[in-house]
Amino acid sequence: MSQPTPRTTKATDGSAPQEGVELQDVSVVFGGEAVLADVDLLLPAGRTALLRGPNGAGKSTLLRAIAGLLPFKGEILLFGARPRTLEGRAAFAFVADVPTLFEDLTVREHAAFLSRAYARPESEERTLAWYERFELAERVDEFPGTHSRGMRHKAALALALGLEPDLLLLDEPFNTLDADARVTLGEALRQRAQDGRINLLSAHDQSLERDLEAEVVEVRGGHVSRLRG
Amino acid sequence: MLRRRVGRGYHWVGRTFGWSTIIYLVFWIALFVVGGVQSAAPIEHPLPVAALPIALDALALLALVSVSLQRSPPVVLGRSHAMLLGLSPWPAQRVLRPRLLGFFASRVVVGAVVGTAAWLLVTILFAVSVPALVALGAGLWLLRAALAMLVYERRRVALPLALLASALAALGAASGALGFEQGAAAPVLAAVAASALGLLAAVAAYAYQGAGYPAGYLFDAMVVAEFRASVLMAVMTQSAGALRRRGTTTRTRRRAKGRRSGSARLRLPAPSAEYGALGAVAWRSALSLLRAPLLMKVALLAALGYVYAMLSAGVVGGLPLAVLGLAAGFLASWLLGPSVEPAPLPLDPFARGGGRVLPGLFAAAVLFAVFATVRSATGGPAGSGEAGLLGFALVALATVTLEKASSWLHVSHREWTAWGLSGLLSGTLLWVLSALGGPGVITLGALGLAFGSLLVLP
Repeated sequence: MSQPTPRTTKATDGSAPQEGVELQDVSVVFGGEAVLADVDLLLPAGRTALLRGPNGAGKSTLLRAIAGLLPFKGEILLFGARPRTLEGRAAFAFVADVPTLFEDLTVREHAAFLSRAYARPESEERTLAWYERFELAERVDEFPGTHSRGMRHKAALALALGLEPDLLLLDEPFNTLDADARVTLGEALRQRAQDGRINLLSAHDQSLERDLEAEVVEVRGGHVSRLRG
Repeated sequence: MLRRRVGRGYHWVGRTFGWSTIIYLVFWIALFVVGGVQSAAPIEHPLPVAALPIALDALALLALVSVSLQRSPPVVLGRSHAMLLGLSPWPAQRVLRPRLLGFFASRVVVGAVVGTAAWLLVTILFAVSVPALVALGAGLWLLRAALAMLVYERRRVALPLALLASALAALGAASGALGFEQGAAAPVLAAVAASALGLLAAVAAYAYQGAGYPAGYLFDAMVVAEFRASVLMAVMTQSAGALRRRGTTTRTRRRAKGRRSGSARLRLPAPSAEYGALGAVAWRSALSLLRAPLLMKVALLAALGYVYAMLSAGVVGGLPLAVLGLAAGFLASWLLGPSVEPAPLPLDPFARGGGRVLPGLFAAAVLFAVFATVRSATGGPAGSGEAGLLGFALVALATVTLEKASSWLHVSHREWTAWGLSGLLSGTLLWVLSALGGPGVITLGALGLAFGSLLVLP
């Protein structure tokens, strides 16, 4: 198998693109050790990018840095806004590998709460429709604490998809899903890319690259290189 | 068996520590305690004695009410009990007698220590010496321990006993002020009654060991003994840094919320979308308040009533007010809505802070208004409304500072670090305000600071 040639991902004219995600010289340091070092990445609209690499390579760290959940050096711009600003936060939805849900709200109330918090009232109906597609409709009036790990993951994905953010960050989203839900999520991600939105997810499954028509971004030893797409 | 156990224990203590050493230590500790209480100087402006019985009765009621919150068996048994209960020809009462005696005796000692501390505090804060508080504490703790056993076994006798104790506390509240002023007759009577009730309940709890054998708690008690051993191991592992305690706690809380029956049925309609993020967060906070356990709501009501009673009794200015501000922090931690972190939501500070604070403060305002109305309707003094407004201002300041502290520190508002920072902030602000003027200045200043910082601070 020939080694694919890494190609530069930085904007050639040096200006910050307004229609996508741009990372410039991003480093994340834990305890004096760089988990990510000088990462440059450009994701234009309408793309699905698949972060791939061994365990501990820094895939989740990269996603969390983009979501503004980790301190970093360098510059991250989400459609021209920094991730910790209100505009930046409104631009994306993040589903962690262990999804964060509000344990005091039922699954249905999550849809109502997030639609108002994001000032997207129409997203409540969309989220309820995604609950149905993920076969959660009969359990929406229960607290997520009573649900299995897979069901919690489905609920978090339905909420993120319902919000229809310009950028969707997913950390190993397929791991806990059943076969039907994997198909549903795959279709949703393909449709999002066709609609001009960006999906950035981490996964180990080799077949996803073809199924999602995704570009592969290799993360290894804290360095990032785009391989093919 | 009991004689043998006592004899064995007596010899073990004698061999390990020496009885003369223990008597020597007990003598000096008693001497220091009595000397400490006698030399305790009251503060310059003692609190009004009329507030003392209300405070004591509120604490006694809380101690008794908290029994029903207990979800684990009050007595923990060991493997030797399991062997004896299962294999020996002795009846259950005889096997359990040494353990139960030890359990009740330890509670009497704890109660006496609590009573002594209360005696000391009362001497300093109220400038009256009430030695009967030691006996009252011991009797109350004995009653609490016996009630805990009876409640855990769902014995019908527990309810009448709890009602009797509540009536006793209410009677103390009604006649307490008179008794304290006329030579401490009421606390002595209360101590005697609490001790008698405690003994009665303990005897009932012991008698039921044979009547309903095997009691439900026996199995739980043994499981808990094993569980404690594994928890001890987990704690040791955690302290070595091998486990993540936060994850365990989160899972436990998540399960507890899911298990609480019926709480999902308590609903509030979601606000209109035009209220935006502020409306969403406020709705979530109101839901959280609505779904809080019933006993917690009762405790919240009692705490609000306590703050109002202290303020309407005239506790304004200086150190007592700062202490009251810290007490309001407890209220704040329950009035404040749940945290929105660590989810990266697009919420501005006003939407986050206002949404978390306003529903609880609205409930507090309504309750203070009810207290003031009831007090003035029942012939209270003219300043009932002012006390309510001051109480609301204190709680508002404590709640807002707690919200800010928890957000700045990125911790839950139930964490001690957030409590500490909030207490420091609200205590300092109240101290400054009380130095500037009387209740009117404090009320206006606290309300201005609370709502101003909601609007301005991140």
